[in-house]
Amino acid sequence: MFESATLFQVALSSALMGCICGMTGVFFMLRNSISIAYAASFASLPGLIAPFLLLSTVKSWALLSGAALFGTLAAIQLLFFIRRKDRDPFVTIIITLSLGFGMMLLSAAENYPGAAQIDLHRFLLGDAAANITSDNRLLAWTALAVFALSILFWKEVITAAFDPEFARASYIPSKFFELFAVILLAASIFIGLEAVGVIFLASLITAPAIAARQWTNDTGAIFILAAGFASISACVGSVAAALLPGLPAGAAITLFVSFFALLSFVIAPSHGILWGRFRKKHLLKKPDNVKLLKLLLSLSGGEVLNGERGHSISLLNALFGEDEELTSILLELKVKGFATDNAPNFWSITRDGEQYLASGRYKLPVNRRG
Amino acid sequence: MNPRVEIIIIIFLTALVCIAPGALLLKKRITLYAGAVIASTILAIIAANALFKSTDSLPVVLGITAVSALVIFIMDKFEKASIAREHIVGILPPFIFSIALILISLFPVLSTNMDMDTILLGELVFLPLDRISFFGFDLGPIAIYQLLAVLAMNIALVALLGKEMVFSMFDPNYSMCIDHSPLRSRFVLLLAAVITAVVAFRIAGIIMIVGLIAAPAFIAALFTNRFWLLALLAGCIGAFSNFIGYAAAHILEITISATMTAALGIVFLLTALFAPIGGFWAKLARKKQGETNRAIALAAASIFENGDVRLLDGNRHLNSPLAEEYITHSEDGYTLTEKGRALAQDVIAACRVPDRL
Repeated sequence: MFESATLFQVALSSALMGCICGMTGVFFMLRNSISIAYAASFASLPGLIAPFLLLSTVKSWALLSGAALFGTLAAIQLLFFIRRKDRDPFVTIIITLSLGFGMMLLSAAENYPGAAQIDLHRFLLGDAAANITSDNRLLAWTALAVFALSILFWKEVITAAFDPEFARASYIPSKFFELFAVILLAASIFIGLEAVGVIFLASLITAPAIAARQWTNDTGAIFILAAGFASISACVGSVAAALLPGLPAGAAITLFVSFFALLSFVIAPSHGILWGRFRKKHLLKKPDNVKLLKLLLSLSGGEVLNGERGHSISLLNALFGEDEELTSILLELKVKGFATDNAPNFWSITRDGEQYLASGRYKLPVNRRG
Repeated sequence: MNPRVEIIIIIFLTALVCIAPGALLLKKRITLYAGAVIASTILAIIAANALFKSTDSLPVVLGITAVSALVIFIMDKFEKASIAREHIVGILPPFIFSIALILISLFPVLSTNMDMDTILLGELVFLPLDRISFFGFDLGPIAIYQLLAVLAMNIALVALLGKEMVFSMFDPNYSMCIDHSPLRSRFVLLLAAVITAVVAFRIAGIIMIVGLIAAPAFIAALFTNRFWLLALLAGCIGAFSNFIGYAAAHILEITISATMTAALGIVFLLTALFAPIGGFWAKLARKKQGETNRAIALAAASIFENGDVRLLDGNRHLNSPLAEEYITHSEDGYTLTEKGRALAQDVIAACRVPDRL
């Protein structure tokens, strides 16, 4: 559909756009308030159409500024005025009702003289052609500035996100970093809305951060990974949409980015489901086993000598109680590699067993309630 | 019957149908989760439309519900792998939604009479065309009977499982003790919400129906905490805003479902700002009143304790005690009035409980 030079332009500017959106998501994810990003990107729809109705302008910067303004208002309201406890229903209601409000304005705009000049519907699902005219140099400078600022103030950002009280005590303006995240959100809405669309923008902002979270615990690595994921999927999605006529760009991008996040949920090391399954094999299911292991640890007096100083089974019997089960539990522990018996009937804990207890992984999962 | 009257009956019934799931979801604090589950049904709805040419016959609704049970199961699996619920809610529904939209935009054959606008807006104006007749005698639109059936289901849900729901909301531990699993009641509630949304899907589209379910209950909860009053109020608010939306859409000649949702949005905005107890201004005023009360109590107590203290003139914390005549200002400083003395004694007595013991 497009020539290769145009295609390259689309790919490059989508990648830059994705980079900015992905970095934005990380700021909200670190604050544990990622649902604010969902709400803000949906809340931008009424703001997108209001300038057209009020000022009858068809310039895309005016429409996008309105959208960014509405998104920012929603985000500020949720960040500063709504308690975290009330956030969930508020987010749901803001998403759905602002979609309704926007669709009402959209259908009013269709009856409006001059509506033929502009196809407002393409803002809903995204339009790969939107990136043809975007200014790559400006996008690149924005991405670079955001990246540089974040890296420069990363320590402050992290402190403000994880412990606002401590941040305030050490003269780090925690409110300012919240505002910075909101400004970044506004920029993402402004940059991404036309190419990705109102319905799918939330996903491009949040999904890369969530996917990156599954792969590592290091916040800096999350930041860089998220930017990378977002640029790759925005690039691939936009190019796919440009090559396949009729494919909505936003849907294609979202398909890639959320598929990647789902994949991370399943296969990511140490967070994913498969990893959890794998790890569970090591778990001691029965509480008695843990009890005995703890007893062995306390008998060893903190210093683990691999089987050199064993404890006689009669001592264990006296301390632990059960005669029949004791041997079977000890054998189970031996199979797992947590206990050894170098001399017959003389048992001690191994280094593995000590590490296992220290890691706290034997703790039973807390019952989830509703 | 006049199609307009039928549409009005349908939108009133919609408001009634949405009460029970909305209120219970709000009380159980899973509104966002339920919204995600409901939005995820879109792929099943499109599949049903492509295969059976209908989205609202009983077997199809049950099939869609079974698919959403699968979605809930997958979400549970993710949650058990300690992935935050907020994150799952942001990943799975967009994924399913994007698959659905790609399918209907690439294969228009799949989606006869189911395009973008139907998914996002519903097709309320066409509902009166789909009629039911009994031996040639016209009984009205089929949608009315479907909504009545869902209403009956929701009432049955509250009547049969209401007690279990209340236990699981307020005291999960006790609820577990008497063998009422909170997870099970959550599952039943989510399925009820899905059935409601799927049947009402053609009225307002798959996203806005979540708003019609969630918002009236939330607005009502700003006024009251009692469940029956909340349900009644939510029904009134839903019916009122739906009717206003319908009337406005009729006058302005714009989409009815979007206008209904927008009307609800305006009601939401107004009540969230100005509601007498839970509203934003009321909360702000209460906070300010609390600060004033604290200032008065502190000033009265410190003057009572320390006698004629040399307080700074123009201290802004003394403005409110002065204005409400708890203390007076003369040339030799601040003194307590009779009212202020009584208050100060009360405050000191209340603070000195440990001393008395």
